[in-house]
This record gives sequence, structure tokens and C-alpha cells, in this order.
Amino acid sequence: MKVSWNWLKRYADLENIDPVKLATQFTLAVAEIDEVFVLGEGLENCRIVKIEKVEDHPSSDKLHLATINLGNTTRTVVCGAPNAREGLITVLADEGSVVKSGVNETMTIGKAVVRGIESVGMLASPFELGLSDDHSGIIELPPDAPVGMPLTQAAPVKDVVWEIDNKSLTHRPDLWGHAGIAREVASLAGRKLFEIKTEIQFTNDAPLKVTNLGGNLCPRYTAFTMDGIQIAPSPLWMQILLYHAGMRPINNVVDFTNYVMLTTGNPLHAFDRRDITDDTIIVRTAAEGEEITTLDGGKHTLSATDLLIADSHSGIALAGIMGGANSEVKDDTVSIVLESANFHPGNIRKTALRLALRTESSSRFEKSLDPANCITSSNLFASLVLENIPQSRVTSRYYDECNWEKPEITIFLSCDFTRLKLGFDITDEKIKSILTSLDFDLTETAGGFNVSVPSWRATKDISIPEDLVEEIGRIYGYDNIAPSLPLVPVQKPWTLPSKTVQRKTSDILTLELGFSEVMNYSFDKTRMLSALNMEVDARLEMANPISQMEPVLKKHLVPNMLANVELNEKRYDHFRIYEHGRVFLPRENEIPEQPRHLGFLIADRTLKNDEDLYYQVKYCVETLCSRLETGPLRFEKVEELQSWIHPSKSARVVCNGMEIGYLTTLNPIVKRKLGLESQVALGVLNIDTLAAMDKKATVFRPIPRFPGISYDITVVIDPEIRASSIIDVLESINPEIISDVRCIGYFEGAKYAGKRAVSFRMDFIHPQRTLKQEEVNEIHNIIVEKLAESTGGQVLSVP
Amino acid sequence: MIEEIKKLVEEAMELIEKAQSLDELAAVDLEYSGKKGKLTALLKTLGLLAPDERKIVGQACNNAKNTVSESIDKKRSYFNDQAIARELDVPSFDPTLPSIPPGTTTGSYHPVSVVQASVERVFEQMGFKILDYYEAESDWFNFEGLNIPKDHPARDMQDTFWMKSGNLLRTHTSPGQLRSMKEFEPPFRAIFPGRVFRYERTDASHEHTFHQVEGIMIDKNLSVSNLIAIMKILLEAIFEREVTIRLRPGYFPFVEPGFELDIQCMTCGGGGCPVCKHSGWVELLPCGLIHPNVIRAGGLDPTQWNGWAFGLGLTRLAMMKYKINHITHFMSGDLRFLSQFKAGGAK
Repeated sequence: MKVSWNWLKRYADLENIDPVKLATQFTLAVAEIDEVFVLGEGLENCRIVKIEKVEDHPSSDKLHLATINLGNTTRTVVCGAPNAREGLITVLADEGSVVKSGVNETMTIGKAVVRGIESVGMLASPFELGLSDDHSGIIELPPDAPVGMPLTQAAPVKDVVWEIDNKSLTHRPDLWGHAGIAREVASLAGRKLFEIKTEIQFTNDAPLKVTNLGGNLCPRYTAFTMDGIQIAPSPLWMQILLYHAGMRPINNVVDFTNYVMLTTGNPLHAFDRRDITDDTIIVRTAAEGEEITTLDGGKHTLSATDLLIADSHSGIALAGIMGGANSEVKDDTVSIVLESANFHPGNIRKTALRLALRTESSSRFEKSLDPANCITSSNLFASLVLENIPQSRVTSRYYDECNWEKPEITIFLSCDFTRLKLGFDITDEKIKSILTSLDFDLTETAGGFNVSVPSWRATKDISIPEDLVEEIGRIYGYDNIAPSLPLVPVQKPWTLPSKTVQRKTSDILTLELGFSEVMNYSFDKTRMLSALNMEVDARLEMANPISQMEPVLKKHLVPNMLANVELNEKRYDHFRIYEHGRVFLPRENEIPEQPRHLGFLIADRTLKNDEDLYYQVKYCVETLCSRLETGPLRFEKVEELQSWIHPSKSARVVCNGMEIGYLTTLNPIVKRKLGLESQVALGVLNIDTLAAMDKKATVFRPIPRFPGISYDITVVIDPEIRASSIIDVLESINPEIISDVRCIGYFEGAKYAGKRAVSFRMDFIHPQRTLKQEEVNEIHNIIVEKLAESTGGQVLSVP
Repeated sequence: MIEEIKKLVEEAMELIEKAQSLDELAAVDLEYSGKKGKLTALLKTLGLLAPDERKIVGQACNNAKNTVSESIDKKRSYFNDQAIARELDVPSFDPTLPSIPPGTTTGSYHPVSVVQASVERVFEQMGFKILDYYEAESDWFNFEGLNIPKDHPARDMQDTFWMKSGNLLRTHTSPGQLRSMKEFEPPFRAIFPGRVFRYERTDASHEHTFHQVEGIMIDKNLSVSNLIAIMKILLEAIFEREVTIRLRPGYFPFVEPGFELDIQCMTCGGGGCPVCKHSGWVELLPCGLIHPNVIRAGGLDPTQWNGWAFGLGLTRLAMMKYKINHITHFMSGDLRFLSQFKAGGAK
């Protein structure tokens, strides 16, 4: 919203205050000012002049020579304006004036020789003077404008305009007009606020029939009639103020309604009374499908919840949003009906949103305006008409159809509570003076004040003591509050278990295993879903997806990580990435389950096959788990096959009987469909499962007192036999003596005729004594026998 | 002529049948349909024939070529399927064999993670819990419970991703205020970082998915003064220098009073520059005392407990810290971007 300082000065005593400086204070105490415009600078040399004579320029068809009266002298200037004519009162921008030459450009006026004739100064258009967008001709002033007077003295052309961020006014219905802003400014500056006093004599005539059937959709509907209207331009000062506030002047009646709206914040609407059938006004909801054409020419089909202002025949205005085309004020309007009303904020918002018709009016009513303001606004309008249109008069009583009772909100505000909340020692007197300056009524009572809330703050803005604390804090100035740390008890240390797992795994992957962290969107791409042969799950579908390409929440981290491979394999032969993130699993009548997953992936386009990558990812899984102290892992057959999982080259990772994730090489069908050139292997771990698991804290194993031996064997087995099953056998043979069994390598080749030779290493240690060679031999024999028996394996080496 | 064509087709079919590999198939293709292939050669002799004969032979020749190439395609896809089947069925692959350490390379953290970790550390040192809540939320936790009823204009300020189920993707980390109050006995203090979603088009400075951190403190007598003190500590720890801050009124339905916290522009020191749009100040984070309605919605008695809350954009902080000019880099997955951030981990 644009706020004009000249306008504010009409409603508060703001003499000798610098509006540019005050803007900062206003931002800190009230609402954010986005920009401050200083207007009318460089117009000091502009004078009001009268054109005495217009002659043709001797060497131009379009240019004229205008002889102008400057009050005490005359002068001839070259002028190209089509409306330059004898007797016109206009403005001369004399030498040294700085006028607008473009949207953000200015020029300085000097002496010029135009087609051989010297001309000093320039007759200026309203645009050049910064008073409107009109540059079709020179400005036309009223005949009684004082010739010879500097323009800056005759009209409020010098001004400072604040552009206030509308978002910061959302909660302040009282600040949508200059009078409300003036109240804040007066309070901040410690100045007096002027009351809008306008006593209007209404008549006893009742030519209208006004019925308010709106119920709570229309808390108040007031109207009255005026006759003797003569449509003309509004006074120059008002046109300038409106223009500075960002509105286009139209004609006197329309400008008066806008002026009132921008003063009190209450939108008004003037109807041409001739167009109101049977002089009847009915506030009612629309019939489903009823149509109305608004004065911007838009045709709208209404629904039964939209509120309509109608006459006995049809709709004449879309309540609170825009007037109807059928009843607007026209150039020959002589009699008007003036509406000043209040509407339900939510309903106005709904209708305006649905019809995509947000107006200055609707955006104000949405904010919960004060119905008490209707009368002040009517009176201000009537007084403007009576002052400025000579034959005009009020010709009816004041119709006031009210479904509203003025709320009496009184809040007890404890001074100690205020000090406690602000954390600052503010005096009772200061509390009182701040609230009083904002027109709150205070009565002193034990420990504080009973504060009566003015109607314009009572619609939704202020209802609890905390709201009053904010009033005091902001006017007092938050900058005056010294920071102080809270004095609170020490808290028991505690860390979210999943956080610990996430932090550790990130550090291990980044610092130890050389992975880069990625973050991907929470959506699945349709392209990926089809390549991976996955369905869109309707329970996870977005109602308003950001694009049709990403319509649904993801159930897995992997698809987006495969897209990361597509992107990066063009530039990197080998890379490793990981992602921590939530995935989404649908549940009935609840928000989705959202387990935290960790995905990590190695891609390498220099490799011929993917088997080494599998064992590298396996290495990562083992490293992660050993550092998390999960206890021993088992790599078992994957049962639930996602399309990207390789049915043979994969394993689910089981720990303490619980599945914690899986690893796999990329399924070749998927690899082919995505056209990937890299070999890819990946692992997924469920962070929540890991976090919930009992940690197998490392327990120190005593250093053996008796020397043991490190014992290696190599077994030739069918390749279908898993190394893990050999380890199981070895571990079961003599657990007292055999420990730390691990696979250390394998060999294949013609020598083994389709079989595989796998080597294992273990420790033989007796807890009480040194093992004898015979005992070792005996264990060896048992191993040979057991392995042959349970796996068909043949042990090669001898100790 | 026709006879000759027939013979050639039969020959080719036999070779296709016998082919044992994709390479052999390709050879057959070349021998019959290639530029110098036998069928191609026949086509080239058509010019010597009488016009009506030319038509018949030409057609037969083309048919023959089609038949051969169809068979080749069929066999080729058979080979492909076989290859995949062979690739998929590898009973000899032992997933339990010893692992191989991947070679050494230098890893990296996501820049948001780096910034997030430093914020987490500041608060952990002050005894705050680090929490993590849901990204898909209900209307109640994201709006209603935070004092934003239906039809409230504040809902406009945060364009929302809605799910068909009626749930939504959280537009801010504030649902964590309610969830933490329900989860922990007061007094407590906590922060909850995480991703949030806004339904808006992406450009250099807008992203529909980004990261925030929200913090709250619940106790008996917390004040605006306390909030200012903690915010100053936070920002000085993050920026590793002294900072000047100011509060101004800001409207958020879930706090009362509510503030926008500005930080004096660190580029120009407050004198005015393009970074701060010549105001000397940069808007950094919203904060305030938690609204009694929200305390109540969290299951606590607002006459007993109060608190403050703040929200800070982690993505924005990372942009400031690393001078990243385009917000869409963060979720791009592009290693040219991601691999630049080596800092992080323990501090």
C-alpha cells in the first residue's frame, strides 16, 4: 500500500517531522516499508500561468508559440501540446526545473532554441510534473487557480510516499487507510491525531427500500441518496493525493469513494440511482448459476454462497468486490445511492479467489474491517460531495441495516505480566501512555489496567493480554530491550537415536569411504517410474503436483539416485554418492509412514562387469555397521525384488535376526532401459531400524595367555555353496578353540574344473594351555571330515 | 529370377537358424541385405528386365529382404533376452565372499548439511534437543493447530502442496512445535531442522523444496529479551563474527508478539549495497513468543507454560555462506556442485 505523507498530515499533526527518517521507526514498530519515494523534487521553479495567446510557429505545423502570463510578466514559449489554447491555466516548468521524461528518467529544463525561436522553460504535462500518467497534453488547472503562484505552494506536489509491504498489514484491518496509519505515526512521534469530524444532516425521507438478508455474511449495510450531482473532475489536490497513493483519478464521485477508502480503509460504492429498479436494494446470496457483469466488463456465474447486492430485478453489485456494469456512475449521473457496508471476510475471500477478482475493496474486506467504520466513511463521503459539488444535497435518511453488535472487549493487563513477557523493566506510566496513544481506554486496577479495545482493533486483531504486550513492545521499541539469556535448569543429555546414526553414517561415507552427499526431491519422476516398471500409488499422489512429470511421493530413494547416475556418468568415470532422506509409505486414514533411509551407490564406467562393485558396496555396509556396533551381519537372499535389484548379485543385510537393508548390483534390464553406461552397485539401509536396534557394545577380549596359531585352509566347493555356510560349519566345530573365522580369498580356473577354491583363516587358541601338534591335527581332520560331509567341499591345504 | 530369390532366402534362413552369436547374425545380415549383399545385388539388376517383369521381381526381392531382416530381428532379440537371462541368473555368484575396499577418493557433504551441522552444534551446546519430524503432514499440524484456521489469509502466504488424500507437505518446520510439545515433558528446548515444501515455480531464488530449522524453548517465564539473546548467539556462532540484529513486528499467527529479525548487512556493514537493497539490513528469520493457542494445541496450559520459537532458512544460510547464486543447485544432484564442499563433520 502506498501512503502519502501529505495525506497523513490531513489526519495528524505532523509538522516538522522528517518522513524519510520516520520511515525506519515505522518499519521497526508497525509494518515494513519497502521503499520511500521523495516526490516533486526539482519542481520549485514551476509556476501556475495563464495562456494569453497562441500563434503558429513560423517554421512548424505542429508547434505553437504561446504567450503566457506569469503573474507579473509575460513570456513566449514554444509549445507542441494539442490542448494549448487561449485562457487555459496551466503550469510552466521554468529554467532549472527537473521534470519526468520517462518512467525512471528525468530532465532538467533550460533555454532552448526550437526551430529558430528561443524558448525558456516549458509548459508541462501532468506526467512531466509527476501528477498522473497523462502526457497527452499540458496540464489543465481550474480557472480559479492562482496565476503566478509557485506550483509547490498551490498544490501538494511535493510529497513523500511510503510503499508498505501489504503482507505486513495482513493482521491489521485498521491500517488499510491513511487515518489508521496516521494514528500509528502520531503515537510514534508523540503528536496529536485529528478526529475525522463530519456531521451530516440526513433527511427523514425514505425513498429507498433496503433489506439486508445477508445474515452473518453482511454484518452491516448502510445507504443513503444524494441528488444534484454533477460529474466533473475532482479537485486537483485530491487527484494528486490519489495519484501519489497509486490510484488513477476518474471523476469526482468515484474519486471521493476512493479517497474515503484510502482514508478510513472502508470501501464505498456509489450507484446511479436511475438504474436501481424500484429504488429497492436487497442484500442476498446469489441463486446458484445467477450471472452478473461487473463494471470491468467481466461476466461471472455465481454460486449460492456468493453475496450479491440486488435491486428488485437483478444483481447490481458483487458484494464487497466490485460494482455491476448495469448501475455504475456515468457522466450524466445526477442522483446516487451511496453504499457503505461491511461483509464477512472469509466469504469475500472465497468469492474473490474463485472468480479471480481481487480488488482494492475485496482485499480490505478480507481483513475483517470494523463495521463501526461504515458511518464515519459515509459522512466523510457526503461532506466531500457537499463541499465540492455546488448543487448537491442529501435526500434520504441514513439506512442502517445492521446484524452486528459492537463488541465490548476488555482485557485485564497485568503490568508485571508485561514486564515478564518483554523481559524489560517498563514503568506502569509508560504502559499507560503507549496504550492511550493508540486509543485504548484504560482503567487502573490492582496490578495493572482494564484495557478496553477500540472497535477497529477488536475484529480479530486484539483479544488477549499477549496482543497488548506486542503493542507496548513495538511502540516502546524492541531495540530498547537488552538481550538476556534465560536462566533455566540443566537438561539431561539426550540425542535422537536416528540422528546419531545419520551423523555417523554421513561421516563414515564422506570421510572414510569417499562418497559425496546428494539431496533429491521427495517426488518420483514418471519417466523413472516407467523405466523401473513401477505404478503411481494413488494414495501418495499429489493433488497439485508441481509438474505432471513428478506426480507422486517417493517410496524409495533409489530411483532419484539412478537419475543422479544418468546426469553424472557423462562427466565422471567413477563416482560414489549417498543420500539420507525420508521415503513415504501409504497408510489408511493417516499421514504416510515416513521411515528414514540411507542410500549409497557406486558407479564406474571403466569396469567390464559389476561384481567387484558389489563387493565394494558390501565393504561399505560392513564398515558402516561395524562402526555402528550393530553386531555380526548376515548376507541372505533377497526376497522382495524391486525392479532395480539383481536377482543373483544381491543380498539382504540381516543383523540380530532383523533385516536392516540390502545391497545389489543394478539389474541389467533397468540398466539397459535407462541406457546407463556405468556399472552400478548400491546399498540401502533403514536408519530407523538401525537406530532402534540394541547396540552390541564392544567388549574387550582378553589377550590370550597362551600362544595360538593362525590357521588357513582352502576348500574346493561347488560355486553354488556360499562361503558363509562354510564359516557356519567351521564356527560350530570347536568354539572353545576355533575363533575369528573369516574368508580371505578365492580362486577359479580350469584347474578346479568349474569349482571354486575358497580360503579361510581362523585362530586356534586353547584358553588354558599351548595346543599340541596332535590336537591341531585332530581338529584339522574333523574340519576336513565335516566340510566334506555337510558341503561336499574338499580341503586342499595341510597345516 | 524368382527361383533364385527363393533359394537365397532359404540359404539365409538356414544361416540365421544356425547362428550362435550376435556377431554371426550381423554377418548374415551383411551377406544378404548389406550394401554389397546378395539380395541387394539382385535388386540392382532389375533395370535389365522388362517393365512388367521388373515389377514382380522387384516386389519378390523386397519381400525376401523383409523376411530375412524380420528373422534376424527375432533371433537378435532372442539373443538379447538370453543374454539378460544369463546375466540375471548367476547361481555361482556368492554374495558372501570377501569384500573389496573401494579405493581412496575424497568425499563431500551437501552444503545444507554443513550449515545444518553447525546450527545443530550451537544448540546442542546450549542443551537443546535435535529433533526430526514428518515431511508429509496433516492440515491440523501444519495449519489448524498453529492458529491458522481454514480461510485464514495466512494460508495464502504459503502456497501448499496438497496430497489427494487431503494431507499435505509441510510448508514450514513449525508442525514440530506441536509435535515436540506433545512428545516431551516441559520444560524443554529443542530445534528441528528439515525439508519443507512450497508450491511455487523454481527460479534462481525460488525452490519448491528447501531446508529450514525451527527452534523452540518451553518454560515458565521466557521473554522477548531471552529470545533476542539466543538469536544473537546463534547468528554469531554461524557467521563466526559479531553481528548486529534488530527486531521489528512481523505477523505469524502462531506467535504473539511476532517478529522479523533483521541482521545488519555483512556485505556493506549497514551502509547500503545491492545485497541489502540499500537498506543496510537483511531480513533473516521470523520469531516470537509462542501464541497461547498453540501452547494449548500442544497439550500444555498456557497459564503455566510459555515459550518462544524461531525459524531459519538453512538453504538460504548456505547460499550466504558459500555465495551460491542459484538455489536450484542444491537439489540438482550435480557432482560439479556437490563435490565442492569438503568441510564438515566434527568441529
